[in-house]
Amino acid sequence: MKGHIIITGTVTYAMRAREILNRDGFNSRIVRVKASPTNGCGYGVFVQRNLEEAISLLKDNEIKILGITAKE
Amino acid sequence: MIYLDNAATSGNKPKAVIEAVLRALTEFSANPGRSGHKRSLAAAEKVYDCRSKLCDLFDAGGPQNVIFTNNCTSALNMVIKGVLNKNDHVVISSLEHNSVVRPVETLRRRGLITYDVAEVILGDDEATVRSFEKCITSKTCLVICTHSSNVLGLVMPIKKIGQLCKSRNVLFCVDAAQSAGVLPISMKEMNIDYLCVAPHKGLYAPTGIGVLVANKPIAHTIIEGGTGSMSEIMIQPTDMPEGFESGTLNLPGIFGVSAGVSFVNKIGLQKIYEHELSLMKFAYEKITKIKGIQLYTPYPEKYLSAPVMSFNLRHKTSFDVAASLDEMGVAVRAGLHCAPFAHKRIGTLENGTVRISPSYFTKKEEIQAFISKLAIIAR
Repeated sequence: MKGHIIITGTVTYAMRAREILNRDGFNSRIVRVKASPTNGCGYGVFVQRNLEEAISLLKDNEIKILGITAKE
Repeated sequence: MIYLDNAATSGNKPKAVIEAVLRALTEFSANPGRSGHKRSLAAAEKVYDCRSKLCDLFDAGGPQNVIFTNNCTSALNMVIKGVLNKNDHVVISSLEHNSVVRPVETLRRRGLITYDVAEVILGDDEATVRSFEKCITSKTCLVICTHSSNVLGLVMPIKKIGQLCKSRNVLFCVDAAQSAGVLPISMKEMNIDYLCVAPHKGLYAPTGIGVLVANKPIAHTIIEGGTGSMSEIMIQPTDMPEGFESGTLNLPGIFGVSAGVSFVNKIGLQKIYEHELSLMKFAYEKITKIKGIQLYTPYPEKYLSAPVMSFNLRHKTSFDVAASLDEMGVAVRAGLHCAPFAHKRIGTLENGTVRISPSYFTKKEEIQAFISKLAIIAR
C-alpha cells in the first residue's frame, strides 16, 4: 500500500498522532520504522493521502515530527 | 475484617481491577513501547488507553501529559526536583504530607531552594488563600497544596489557590492522593499545572503505581535510563511522557489503574463521594456520643470534607486504641500518618490520632459495628 510514514518519536506520540488524524477523517495506523537517532524509537503513523494536510494537522496539535519516509 | 483504612490504600479492589491485572500478566505480558512486535504494540495501546482515561478524568491537556510513576510520592518528588532550579522559592500548605515536606526540606538543607508554609485557617477558605498570597514573593516558582488532608479530611480551596497562582504567574502542583476518584478535579478549571495521584486509593488500582499529570514542562529528569527511544545518545530524552518513565513500566499496575478509572466512571464520582460522606456523617453522629471521644474536625459537609476522620479517646494512646480495634477485627490507622504538619496544627504531635476512612465498598453496618466496638474500648 503506497503512502507516507510520519515519524513521531515515541510510541505515545505515534498514538496521539493517529488519534488526531483519524478524528479528522484520515485512516492512519501505527507502524514501526527503523530506529535511528533522528527517528526516535522508531514509531510513526502511516497515511495514504493528503500528506501535507496531515503534517499541518499534527503540527497544529504540537506533535513533533522527526521525519517523513515514503512507503512503496 | 472491617477495613476502615482506605486512606492508606483501598482494601477492596473491584473484580474488574483484579481481572485486568491478570490479563496484563497473561495476554499482554510484554514490554510496551520497546519492541516492535504485535504483543508489545498491543500492550502499548493499553497503556495509551489508560493515559487517555486519566486525561479525561482530570481534564488534562492530553494523554501525552500523563506520566506513570512508582507511587504518588515519586510523582511529587518528580515535580519538586524536576521543576525547581537553584534559588527558587516554594510555598507549601501547613497540612502537607511528608511526600511534599521531606523533598522540599531536603532541597532547602542542600542550599538549593527556600520555602514558606502557608497557614491553613480551618473553616475559612478566604483566609487560607490570603495566607498563600502573603507567602508568595517575586522568587516564588511553585505552590504545592494537598487537595484534601489525609488527617483531617479538610478539602482545600484548590480552585481559588489555582486562580491566585495563575494571577501571580506561579506554577501550581496539587497532591490529589486522597481526592482522586472521590472529588471532581479539573486541571483546566482549577489552573493545576501538576497533579499527583495515588491510584491505589480512590481509583482502586493495585499498589506500586502512581500518576503525575503534567500540563507544564518539567525541566529536569530525576531518573535517567532506558526509554525505548534515542538509544544511541547518552543524554536522557525529555519528550513527554517517556522521558520521565525510564525503565520498564508497571504494566499490571497500569491495567489496574485503567480498570479502576472505568469502575469509578461507571459508578460516578458524585455517587461515590455522597456514599462515603454519608458514612462519615453517620460515624460522626454516633462517635460524638461516646464518652471521652475527642474529634478534630467539624461535622462533615459536602465538598468541604473528604471521607477521612481523626479522633482520640482520652486517657488512651492512639496506638492502643488502634491495637484494640485490630483485636476486634477493625482496621484503622494510628499515629502521625506521615503528616506531622497536620498534627502540629491540631496539637496531636505527641500522641497522633486514630484515623478512619471508608471506601465505596464500606457498608453502614460496618460503621455501626466499628462504633459499637469503639464504645466498648472507651469504657
